[in-house]
Amino acid sequence: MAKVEIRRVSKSFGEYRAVNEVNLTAEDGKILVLLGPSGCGKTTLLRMIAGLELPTSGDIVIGDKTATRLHPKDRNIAMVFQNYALYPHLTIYENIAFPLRVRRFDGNIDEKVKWAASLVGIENLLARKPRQMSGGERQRTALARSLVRDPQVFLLDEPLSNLDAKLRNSAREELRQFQERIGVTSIYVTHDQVEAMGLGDRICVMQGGVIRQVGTPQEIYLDPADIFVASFIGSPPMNLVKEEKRTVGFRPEIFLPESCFEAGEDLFRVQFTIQRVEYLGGDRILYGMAGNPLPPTKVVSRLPATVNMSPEIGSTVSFALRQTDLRYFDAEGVAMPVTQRAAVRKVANG
Amino acid sequence: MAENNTVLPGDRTLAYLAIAPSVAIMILLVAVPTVTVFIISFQNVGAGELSGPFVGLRNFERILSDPAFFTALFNSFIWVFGSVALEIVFGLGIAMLLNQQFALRGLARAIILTPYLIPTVVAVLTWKYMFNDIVGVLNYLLIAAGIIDHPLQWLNSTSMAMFSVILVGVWKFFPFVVIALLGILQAIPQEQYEAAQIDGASALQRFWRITLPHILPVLLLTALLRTIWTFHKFDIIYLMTGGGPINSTTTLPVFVYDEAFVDFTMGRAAAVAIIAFFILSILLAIYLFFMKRAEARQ
Amino acid sequence: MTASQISLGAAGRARPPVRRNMDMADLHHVTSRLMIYLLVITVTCVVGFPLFWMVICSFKTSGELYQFPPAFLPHQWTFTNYRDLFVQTNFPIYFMNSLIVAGGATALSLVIGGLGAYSLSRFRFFGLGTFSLLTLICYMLPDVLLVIPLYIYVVKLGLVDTLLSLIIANTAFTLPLTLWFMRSYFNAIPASLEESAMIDGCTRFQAMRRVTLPLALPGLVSVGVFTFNHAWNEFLFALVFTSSETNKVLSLGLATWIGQDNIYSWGMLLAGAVLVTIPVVVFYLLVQRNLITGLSAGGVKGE
Repeated sequence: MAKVEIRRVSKSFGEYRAVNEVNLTAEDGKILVLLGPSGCGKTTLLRMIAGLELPTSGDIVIGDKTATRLHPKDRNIAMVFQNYALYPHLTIYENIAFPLRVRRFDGNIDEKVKWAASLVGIENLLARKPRQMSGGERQRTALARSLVRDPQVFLLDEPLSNLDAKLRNSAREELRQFQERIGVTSIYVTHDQVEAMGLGDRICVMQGGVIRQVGTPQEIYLDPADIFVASFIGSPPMNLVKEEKRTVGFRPEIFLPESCFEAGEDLFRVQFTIQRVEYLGGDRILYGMAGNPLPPTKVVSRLPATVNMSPEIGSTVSFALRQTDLRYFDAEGVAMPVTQRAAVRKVANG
Repeated sequence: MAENNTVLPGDRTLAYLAIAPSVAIMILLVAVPTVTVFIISFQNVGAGELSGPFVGLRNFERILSDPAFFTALFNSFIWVFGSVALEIVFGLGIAMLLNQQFALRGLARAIILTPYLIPTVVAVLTWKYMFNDIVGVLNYLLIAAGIIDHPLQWLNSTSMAMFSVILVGVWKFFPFVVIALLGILQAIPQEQYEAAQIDGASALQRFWRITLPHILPVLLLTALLRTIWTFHKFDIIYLMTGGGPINSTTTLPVFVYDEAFVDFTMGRAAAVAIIAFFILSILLAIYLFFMKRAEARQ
Repeated sequence: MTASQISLGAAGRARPPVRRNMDMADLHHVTSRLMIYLLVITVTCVVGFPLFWMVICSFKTSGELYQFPPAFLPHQWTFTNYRDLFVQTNFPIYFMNSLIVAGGATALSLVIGGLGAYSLSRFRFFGLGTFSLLTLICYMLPDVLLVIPLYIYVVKLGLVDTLLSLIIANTAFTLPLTLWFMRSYFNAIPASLEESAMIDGCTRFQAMRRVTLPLALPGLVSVGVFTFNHAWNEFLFALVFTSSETNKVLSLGLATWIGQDNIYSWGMLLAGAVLVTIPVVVFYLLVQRNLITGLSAGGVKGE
């Protein structure tokens, strides 16, 4: 087991800067998720950790060895590719045995292969070729192949994106349990925030080749470091209302009719004109315009089914949220520290 | 995201090392010779010599005042346009036929494609035997069917020889058109025909409005490739007639060969080769222009 | 009561009117089927006749070969033409020479072009893109343009009348095809397979040998057949570079006989033609099966 340190790593493709001065540490035995929209540099970063791409500058340290210029085979890492990259000409058995064979493993290969296959529950399929397998079975094979030789670090590049939605939920759960059992340092790349929140011990949000925020799923959700993270995480994302020199943010699910709050709570009240209602079963999504005291802006409220209210389209209702749930971002879009926020609000109210 | 390409330390060396033999061959055996042809075309290279004194444009002047050159040029155009037009017509018709469902389709397809696979020398040999004016089966069949009343001099008359050579060329090379068009014909969505039928389009209208627009780009590309290759074609004509009788089938490649390796006037041969090369470039440009326009219209 | 109501009533009682409609459609269907079969049979017969005639006549006695009107099937099947070909002529030498030239050119073209195509497919270094474009232009150059300078080099290097000169020339002419074909073939093999192999412990060379090469095999076989066929058929270089009986290849050998058809019998020529065709047809049958075996189907992604 080892931790992975990324020190001021940059990668340019010609003029294009895919990764820009990234510093990041993946803790020993934990899952670190690299999350971001496509083209944000997360896959490039992962490929540099794997040794498939040479950083333009900076260093990558795996365990306590500088691995920046090491060949992939000398890093003792394993990787699950987005397309699984199973060798089509080999059986599942030979696919799993491949890393052992090329490393001239001197123990009992057969035993190891069967052990890895049983870990992911494909021991009955070993004689098949990859093309005879379902998507889920291929993904398991890829896992078994990457684990058969006890790697120091486990890299996963959107391993669930080729599965259908239903399978993806159960595969995510399995993956999490699996990682906990073997306890290997893992770096997981995805653009799916649900996957990131559900799997990650820590999440690193990237955009435009730079890190926007690193933190636990709670930290990222509750205290987004900037406007990008605030609007990228959450579904629907955080409401952002631009005021003169700053932006006010609040999550749709805490933005409720005033009647939902108890008397005496320190509330921030907003006039809300309802324009459209989307019924989702457990929730209703209300689209509308925020009004006084905020400048007119489109905002969204997410009402749980437990809230007893029949929203009328066109009506203006008094909505509210707790003062402590408000978030502020400065003119550059960077979140303001909590103490500073409270001060600003007081001035505004006064 | 596009497929990533791995870059490891040492990859650059490997990349250039792996391509080096190919580059060397292409430079030594294609690029340098092409330049050499240009140089030779300005030299007077005689029999048994490999280079000679610089003579400026004299080779070109001699060629352009030689009536035999213009005969060869004319023959080349007849040969190219005759062959390509017939190959396209038969190729398209037979491709559409093979696109239908019928029993033993695989066998019919195999037989129809075979002429393209067999060596040119074999095709020539067989046809020469069939063309033979005394024992040839073609004359026999045509007389028996009442189409002609006396044996034809397929290869021995100046008026027939070009036709006969084109006939053999078309027989040998139309399967290329069939192969190219079958692929694209099979890719036309069947629903389009069904929709057209419901809309009341006749078979002919369906061909003009659905089939042809779909296959046009491939058809033009195929015609372009066939034009280039037919223009280059040397062996089939040389083996059938040697350019005769009385130069009636001498195309530019045959003319170049005669100048270079029969008369051993290498400089003039090189000049003809270069003129032919430029004509080909013009043909290429015209075709590319039409292809661009056809694509723009879609 | 109107006519339509009456007919409706009749149809309600008995089925026949409905079925008669289908008979009409069937008739139309049958005639169009008939047309298709008629056309297919005509086309197949016309196109296939020269091949049929070549094979049939190679088994005729010399008397029947020169008989007019010709008989369609030989009265007496004979192998004399084939026997004479081996006993009386240099055909076996020609055949060996063709095998050497075509085999040599194919091997060289596959090794050199295969490596080059791998480089063109997997790397994006300076100059590689330009080079692949240039090879495409080379593919369009006429052989009659290049034969003049190449002949001069062959003379200067003392390679006149050698099989080596033919091997080299054929390699040069088939190289662009190999480069382009194998490049697109390698492009279709996901780079992630090699990357995975390298993470699993292979060097780049091992990854190429253990993963990419087995997957590229069908492509190499196909392009190998094209190359072999090209060299097997090639005539112009053979005509210009070689002359002695011991260095003639099949295309040149048979071509010399055509020019002397009074000396050699048509029977032997046709028997030779059949034998020259056999390797080509066998090879194509081989490729056909290989092409059907899809390349990396199922190894990556879902379908």
